[in-house]
Amino acid sequence: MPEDVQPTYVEEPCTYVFQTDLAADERLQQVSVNIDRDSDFMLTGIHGSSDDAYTMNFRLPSGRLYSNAEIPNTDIIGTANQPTAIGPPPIYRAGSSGPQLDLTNLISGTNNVLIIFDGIRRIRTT
Amino acid sequence: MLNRPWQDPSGTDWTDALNPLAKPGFSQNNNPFAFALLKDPLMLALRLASGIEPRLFVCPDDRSRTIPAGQTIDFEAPIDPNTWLWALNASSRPNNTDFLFNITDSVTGASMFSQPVSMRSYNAAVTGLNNSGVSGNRGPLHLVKPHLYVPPSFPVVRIINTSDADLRCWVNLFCCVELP
Repeated sequence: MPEDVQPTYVEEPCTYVFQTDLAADERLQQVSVNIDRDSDFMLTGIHGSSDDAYTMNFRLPSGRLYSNAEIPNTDIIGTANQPTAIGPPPIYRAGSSGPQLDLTNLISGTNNVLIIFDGIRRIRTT
Repeated sequence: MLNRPWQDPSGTDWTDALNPLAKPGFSQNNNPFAFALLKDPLMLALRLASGIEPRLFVCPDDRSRTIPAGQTIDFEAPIDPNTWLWALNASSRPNNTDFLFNITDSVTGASMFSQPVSMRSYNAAVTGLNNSGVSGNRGPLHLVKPHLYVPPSFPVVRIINTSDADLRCWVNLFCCVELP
């Protein structure tokens, strides 16, 4: 491809859903949310639900953690009506392990956690 | 609301996470304050700039740190150079018990609030309190204008536990940083 030709993309709404059952006081680290191999993913917001309290963190495409410490779910997980905006939106490359999650269950019981990553799928066409 | 002109969605940048036209929750009717921030020229520049990465700073970063009843702590947020603060929220355990906090610029000494503010005013829960831990919140509360911490300044978060019980308190700074 000549250097002066820019790649073109098609953009579609996209949602990656992550669900897990955290055991009592369980801590999970660097759990992948795999990105499809055919398209990049631009993360624009987060929402979800859970049985009870937990804390979370995730990695940016650069490999850095988004937060300097795990944040309570009630402070970061938005609602379907108003997802918490992640901005400017990080772009996870196609086939990458995505926003690798760190999760800590704060209760002494099973905690069903659902996290929904809202964003845009970017498919390269040329 | 019904008097507002229809906007062609094909002209909306849906890839912009902070575009008030793309997010119903940020619309002028639903949240005029967030709407005003997001169309502020500085915020617009941050939204559209390349080489900007989102960051979140939980203060204090030791989540198990307990603040004794009646005690005050100062936490120096470990930000990167050229960090922009654009939103924040706060919470505590147990039971989202109220506390006071303020944020001060380490170099200029300028405080974000003229006096320490109640955590409940900046708690993410829609009702003001959400003890169950079940989601249902409004996310971070936006500042009227993003604030740049020019090196070597950084935010100092002061947390005052005004209750008669020991608390774990957190003030969360939603930022973005200019990558070198």
